[in-house]
Amino acid sequence: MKRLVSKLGLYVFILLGLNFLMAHILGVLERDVDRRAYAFDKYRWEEFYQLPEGDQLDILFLGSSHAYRGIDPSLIDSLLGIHSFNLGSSGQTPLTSYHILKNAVHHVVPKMVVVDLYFHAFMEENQLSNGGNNWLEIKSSSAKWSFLFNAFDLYEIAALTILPIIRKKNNVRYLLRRYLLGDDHLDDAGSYQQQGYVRQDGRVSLAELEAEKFYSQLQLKKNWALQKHLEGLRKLVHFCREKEIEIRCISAPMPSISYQKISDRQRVQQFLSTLTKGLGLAYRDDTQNPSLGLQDDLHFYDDNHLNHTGVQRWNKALIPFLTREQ
Amino acid sequence: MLFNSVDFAIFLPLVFLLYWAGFYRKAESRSAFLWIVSYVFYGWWDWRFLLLIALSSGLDFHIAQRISRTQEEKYRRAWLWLSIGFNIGVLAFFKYANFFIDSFVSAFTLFGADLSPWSLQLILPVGISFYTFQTLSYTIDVYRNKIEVTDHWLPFFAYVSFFPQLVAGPIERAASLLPQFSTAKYFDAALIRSGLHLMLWGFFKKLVVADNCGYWVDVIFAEPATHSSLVLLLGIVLFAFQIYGDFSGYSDIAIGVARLFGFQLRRNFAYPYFSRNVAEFWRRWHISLSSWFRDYLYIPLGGSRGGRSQQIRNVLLIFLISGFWHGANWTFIIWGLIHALLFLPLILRGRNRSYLSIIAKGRLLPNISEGLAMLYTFVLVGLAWVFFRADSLDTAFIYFKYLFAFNHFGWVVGMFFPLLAIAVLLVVEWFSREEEIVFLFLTKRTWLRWGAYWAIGLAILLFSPSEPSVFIYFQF
Repeated sequence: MKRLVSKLGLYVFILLGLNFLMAHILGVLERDVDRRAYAFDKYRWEEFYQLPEGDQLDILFLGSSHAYRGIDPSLIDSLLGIHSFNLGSSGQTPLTSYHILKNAVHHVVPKMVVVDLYFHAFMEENQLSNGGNNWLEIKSSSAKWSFLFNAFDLYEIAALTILPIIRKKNNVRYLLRRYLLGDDHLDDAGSYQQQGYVRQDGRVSLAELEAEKFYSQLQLKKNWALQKHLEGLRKLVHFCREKEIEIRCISAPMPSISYQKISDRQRVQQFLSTLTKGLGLAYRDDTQNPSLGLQDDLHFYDDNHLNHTGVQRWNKALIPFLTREQ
Repeated sequence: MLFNSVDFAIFLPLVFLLYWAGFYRKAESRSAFLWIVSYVFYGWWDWRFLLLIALSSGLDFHIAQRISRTQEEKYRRAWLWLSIGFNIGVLAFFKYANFFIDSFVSAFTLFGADLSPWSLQLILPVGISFYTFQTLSYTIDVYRNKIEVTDHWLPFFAYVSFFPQLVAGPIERAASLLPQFSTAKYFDAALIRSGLHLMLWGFFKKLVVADNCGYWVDVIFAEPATHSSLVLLLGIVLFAFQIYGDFSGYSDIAIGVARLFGFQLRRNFAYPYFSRNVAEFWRRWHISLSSWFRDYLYIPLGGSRGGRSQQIRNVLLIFLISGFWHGANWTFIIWGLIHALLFLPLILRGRNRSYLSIIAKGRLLPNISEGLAMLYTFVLVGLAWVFFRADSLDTAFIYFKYLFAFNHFGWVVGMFFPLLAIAVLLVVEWFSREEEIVFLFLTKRTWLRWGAYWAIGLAILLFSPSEPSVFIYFQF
C-alpha cells in the first residue's frame, strides 16, 4: 500500500510541477497579449495603483464590459472637471464588483461609486472568467483572501492557486491553432486608453445584428438572477454606506435589435428597477432610451457595446445623473 | 454527484481511506459502509429518490426469498411477475408517462380537443434504467435457479446501489457482483493500479474528447440547415466520438473506481469503432446492456433458433426495445430500427459472428479489406447516430437533407481541436486494442508510460471544461 501511495504522491507532485512550468511557458509564448481583452485588467490595475495613495477620486465606475467599454473617464473628467476611474472588467458580476471595491479603498477611497447593472452578469455561474484576472491583481492581502474564499468555488480556488494551467486554457487553443494551422485570427478586443477605458471605433451592420443569436437563444429561468450576485450587490451597497461612499446605478445602452430579441426584456427591466428601488439606489436605465438618439449601425460596434462615438454621446447624457443631488 | 466534479474529488479519497482503514475487513461492515456511501453519492443529487432505490431493493430482496422458498411453479411465476411488473412499472411511469400522455394529447389535438393540462412534469430519477435492470436480473436468475438467493439484505442493498456503477452502469449481474461483497478483500496494489489507469483514461475520454466535441455538436445540431455539408459531416464524426468518449469514459471510471475497493466490474466497451460489421459493433458497444437484452429477452424469445420469421421478429424486437430503453422519443426508436435493419442481413446470412477477435490481431495495421470494412461500419453507425442525437425526427431529416445537398464545404477552424483530440484517442486505442487497459502496450518502457500519464494529466487540466458537464447516459 505504501509503495502505491508514494507512487501516486510522486505522480501528483510532478504533475503539479509540470503545471506550473507549462503555465509559465504558455505565458511566455503568448506574444499577442495586447490583443486580448483580459490583458486590460492588468493595465487597468497597474494604472490604478499608480494613483498617489489617498488621491482624490471623485467617481469610481464598476461593472461589466458595458462599463469599461461604455464609460470614458477622461471625457467625464473634462466635462465635469473631476477625477474618475473605471474598474469595470469583462463579465464583472456584482459579487466581483464588491471585492474589487474592497481592494480599491485600500489605495484610494472614491467619493462616489457608479455601478453598471447588466442583467446577464447576474446570471454568471463562472466566477473565474470574470473575477480571476482581477483577483490576480489585488494587492491588499485581506481583500485578496476575502475575495478568494467568499467568491470562488473550490475548482476556481485551485485554478487561482495551485493549478494555474487551468487559466491558460484559451491561450493553448489559440497557440495550437496558430502553430499547427497558421491561423492567427483573434477578435479585435479594442485598445486600452487610460483610466480603465477601452475604445472601439468599429461599427456593426444591421445585418450582423439581425444574424446574432445570443439574445434570442437566451432562456431566462424563473430565478435567473443568482443569489450570490444579489447578495454581492447588497454587500456592495452596505460597504459603500459604511464607508460613506455615495453609490448610484446605471444600465448602458444596447442596440434596439439586440434588445428586442430578449423575450423576457420587460421582466428584466422590472427586476433591475425593483432591485435598485429596494436598496434605495438612484438608478438610470439607458438600455433603451430614445432621447439619447443612438442608432444601431452608427453607435455600436457589436450586439451589445457602444463604439467610441456612442460612448461620447451617452457619457454626455449621463452628466446630469452624475451631478444631481441625492 | 458527478465523477467530474470537485465534490467527487473530495468524496473518493475520503471513502477510499476510510474503507481501507478498516471497513473492508468484515463482510458486514464492508457492505454496510459501501451501501451508506452509495446512498450519500446518489442522495447528493436528490435524496428523495433514495426511497425509490430502497423500495426496489427491498421488494426484490423479499420476492427472491419467496421464489426460492416456494416449490409450486405458479406461485414462483406469480412472484416473478410481481417483481417485473413493479420494476418495469416504476421505470415506465417515470420514463415514458410523459411520452404516452403527450402522444395521446397530440392525437386528440388533431381532432380539435385540447387536453394539454393533462401533461405531467416528471423528473427522471438518475440511473433508474440501470439499477432497475440490475435488480431485475437478480430475481430472474433466482427464479431460473441460476444463482442462490441471498439471506443478507445488506450486501443486496449494497449490490443494487454500488456507487461506481449506480447511475450509468455497467449493468451488473447478481451472479458476478453480489458474491464480491461477501468475499474477503485485501489491498491488491495491481488491481488498484489498473483501476487508476482506467480512471485516468476515462477522464481523458470524457473531459478532453467528449466535452470538447459536445460543444460543436450542440452548435451543429441546433440548426443543421445553417451549416455546410462538410460541417454536418464533421458533426456526425464529433457526435460519434462525443457519445463514445462520454459513455465509455464513464464506464472506465466506474470500473476503475470499483477496483479501488477491490471489486471487479464487467467490461462495457471494447473499442467499438474498430468493428468490421454492425454485429461486431454490438459485441463491443455497451456490452452490459446488449448482453442483458440477449440473456433476458432475446434468448427467452427463442433467439436465433426457429424459423426465419421468428429470427427477424426477435431481432426487430430487441433493437426496438433497446432504442425505446434510451428514451421516449421516436428518434431513438428509428435509431433502433436502423440498427435492426443493419443487423438482420448479417444474422440471416450467418455472418453475425464473423469477427470474434479484434481487428488486425498481432499486426500493426489492418489490411485494405479490413480497413474498408471498419470505415464502412463507422459510416453506417455514424449516420444512425444522427437520429439518436437529433431532438426530433424533423431535425434528423433536415440534417440529412443538408448533409447530402453538397452545397458548400466551409468549416470552422475551432473544430480542429476536438478533431485533434479524437486523433489522439484513436492512435492510443489502436495500439491498445488487444488489451482492456490502454497503457499496457507501454509496460516495458517505464519512462514512456509515466510520460503518458503526465501528458494525459496535463491534457485533462488544460482542455477540460470549467463547468462539469453531465454524462449523456444519465438521462437514460
